[in-house]
Amino acid sequence: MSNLPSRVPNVLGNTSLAHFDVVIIGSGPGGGSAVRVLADAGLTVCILEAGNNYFLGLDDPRPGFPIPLFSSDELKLSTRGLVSQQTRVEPRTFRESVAQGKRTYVGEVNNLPKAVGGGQIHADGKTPRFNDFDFRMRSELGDMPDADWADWPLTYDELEPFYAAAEHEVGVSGRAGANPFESPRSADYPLPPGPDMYVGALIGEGARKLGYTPFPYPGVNLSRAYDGRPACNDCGLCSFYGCPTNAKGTPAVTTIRKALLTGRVQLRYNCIVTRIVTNAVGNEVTGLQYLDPAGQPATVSGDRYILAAGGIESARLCLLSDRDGPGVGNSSDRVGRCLMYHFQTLGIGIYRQSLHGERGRSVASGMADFRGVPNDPDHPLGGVIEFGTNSEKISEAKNYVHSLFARGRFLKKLLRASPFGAHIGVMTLQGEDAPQLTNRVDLDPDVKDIHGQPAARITYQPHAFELSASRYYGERMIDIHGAAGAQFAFVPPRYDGNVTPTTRHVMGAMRMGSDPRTSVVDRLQRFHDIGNLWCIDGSVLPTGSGYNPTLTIEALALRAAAAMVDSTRPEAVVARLAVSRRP
Amino acid sequence: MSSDDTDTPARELSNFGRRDFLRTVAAGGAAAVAASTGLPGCGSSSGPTRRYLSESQRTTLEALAEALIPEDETVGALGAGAVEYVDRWLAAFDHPLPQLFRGGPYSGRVPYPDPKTGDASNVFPANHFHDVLEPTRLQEAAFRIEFFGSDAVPNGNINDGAVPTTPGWLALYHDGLAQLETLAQQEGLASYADGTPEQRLDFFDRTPKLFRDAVLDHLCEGLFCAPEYGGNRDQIAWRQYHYDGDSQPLGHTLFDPATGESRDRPDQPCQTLDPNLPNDGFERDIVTVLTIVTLAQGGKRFY
Repeated sequence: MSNLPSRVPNVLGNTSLAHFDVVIIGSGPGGGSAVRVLADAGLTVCILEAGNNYFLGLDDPRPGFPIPLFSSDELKLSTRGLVSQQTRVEPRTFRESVAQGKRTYVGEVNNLPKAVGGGQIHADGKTPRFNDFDFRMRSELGDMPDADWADWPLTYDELEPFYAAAEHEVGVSGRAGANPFESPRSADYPLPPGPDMYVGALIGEGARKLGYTPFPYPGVNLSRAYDGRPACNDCGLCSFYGCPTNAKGTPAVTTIRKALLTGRVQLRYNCIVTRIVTNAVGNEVTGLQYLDPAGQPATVSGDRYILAAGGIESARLCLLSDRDGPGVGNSSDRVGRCLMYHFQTLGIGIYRQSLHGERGRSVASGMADFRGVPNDPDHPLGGVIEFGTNSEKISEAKNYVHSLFARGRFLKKLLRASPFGAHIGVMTLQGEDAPQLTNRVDLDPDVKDIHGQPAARITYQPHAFELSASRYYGERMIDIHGAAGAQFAFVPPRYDGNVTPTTRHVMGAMRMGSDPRTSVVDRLQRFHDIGNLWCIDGSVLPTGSGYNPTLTIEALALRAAAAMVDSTRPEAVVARLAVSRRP
Repeated sequence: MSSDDTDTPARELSNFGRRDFLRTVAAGGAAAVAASTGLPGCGSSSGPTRRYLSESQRTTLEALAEALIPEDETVGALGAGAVEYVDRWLAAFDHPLPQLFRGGPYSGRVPYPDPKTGDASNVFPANHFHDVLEPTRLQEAAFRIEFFGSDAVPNGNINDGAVPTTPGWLALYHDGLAQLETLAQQEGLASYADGTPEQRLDFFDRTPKLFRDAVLDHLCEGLFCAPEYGGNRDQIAWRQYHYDGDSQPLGHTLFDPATGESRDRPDQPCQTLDPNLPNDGFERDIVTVLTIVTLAQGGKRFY
């Protein structure tokens, strides 16, 4: 460990490693969890991360590190997008359907953070598990027109030990059984729930009056000190913000830091992979081409490779890597298809009293009554509900200016009254998307990033499945706000054509399955077509559930990486991690 | 802050981390930490203030800001320093290090918690919002395009034909502010600032949408940004519009080692109604607006 921390710019970890057992593309919840298992098992790993690093001394073993460079600064994180993909240089394009032509929009399409630690940096850390029935939706729902439901190639029970391990790795706070719809757990959460927010208590009381069952939302914002990190102090600017105190259990400060401190990992950041290079027949990866921090071409190779670039970029990279063919690993023509989001429906309530949304951690409670039950017409499948509000002042002011065209004294009255700021209560339904073959990622024929590489094009139109659930539960959210004492309640239209989804839950484009004709990776997330390439991120999810996906991505990553170490006993590999976790 | 010999190991470790952190902060912040550990530098002082607008351009923008977000019983854009914010923002690239992102994690406005009680201590962190983070190659390229237009960087215009080119904020402000003066003179005014607020808003409505959007966005930013960016002078807008602003490292709940749980701050409760905030509903014309918004979207008004 004497060579830590790294003193080489844009490199974390052991800079002297000469051979890599595994090379990982991306340091988010997928790659960032996998590296923990691989390094713990003694393998040497290189991670290439396209974004920057904002954790000073992430590989410095001394207490007090890392020092996050995040802050409760709306301009820096939200307005100017410190951790965002900058769309002026890396745009995406969007269309609703092929019939609309090449595209209808160029810019930001469901971008996730691009930085060491990946997507969860900006999330407010909600980490529920999926339900057991989420793993067998095809069996539950059967044939549905224009939908491509699938059973997962594993069950909830098979994933359960890895869920438990993931919860301990990142430090999830919650209370077993508080969500009456939760599937069986082998143990309680590692930490009890933290404080609620006023808005959560308020809406929760309204929900309870109507017979619903709100609960403290499981999340990685620590309710007490854990694993060398402090308790969350509810600073308010959480969703879309990196954590200034490391209380948020994102991959960087948990699994990646531990992996770096083994001395067996090298993390090169500001390095953009441009091509997965395969042998002539396309069944083995021989190396990666990337642009180094200065934009110069570079290469890296290892024995095995993990694609973990995220819900859209993993598919894009497979397609970019074989421009004259179907795409790397794409004999099934499934790469990029069945792209799913969560069809979010917002129940807005305007309250007479101030809800002071800048106190709390964006969401502290919610309810799962609207997740529904398969084939029960009285409880259609929807999604979990988050109780939240607004914590940003600049975006609130812009809302009045751009949405209500407010100017002058009218604008001043709105700023003082703050109906869409201090007085807004928001219920967010994370409605499950039906997987559709026509909803997909491909390469835009004209629009490119600044390096000349084709941009990802998203073709996406919601299915009647999620639209009807949105209407059904939208009405009920209005009633809950009424019971909670709101003065006004409404559901803004989430879809009236040409809406680029902004849910940040991006899944499905690299489906996991047993049949190589209808899926890209197998049940342990290895490519059907390529012996030494795995995909370990949210894109492998065959269906999207109605719960936030991060913990499931992490649990799958621990399992897949453990199987890379020992395919016969992955549970035992992951069980060993507990030894190197501080109590 | 005092040391504590009776803590649990986890807490002790956390405290030790905080002490170590305090030492490094006292030594000069993130940049000093970087230097002392040999890490690549991530922060530097923001240096002398630079501005972009000429005196006459600034006068025009001030007159516009007064019309868009006027001063009445609460502070407006001009009084809060939003024009100063814009003037500094437009000069972001006139520094050796482009001033796009400020440092972190803390502003120094709020103290550390006392590790024994969780209450506010009298130890304040240094203000790292005065630091400037070095942008990445791609961040710098993206903002150069925003400021100077699509042709300002190699390949910045790669999507010409598929996407409209960007003239950049500097050109938008230059032309937009000049157009406001021209429109005023066409109406027989000596200058834009001589127009009534209604006239000024009317002239503004006749300028290009890209200019209007830039001005509106930037003035909102300058009203409510962290004061280190030049706007929201002395946190005046946060105070007058009942916003707590940044609260780290104390936060809004206090972790009490004695109980092992977090509790609310007495001055800024998190979990309950705050009786010191406006809790009495909306005046009539706001109710009218909200009623229209609600009914237009098929919602309900509750009485």
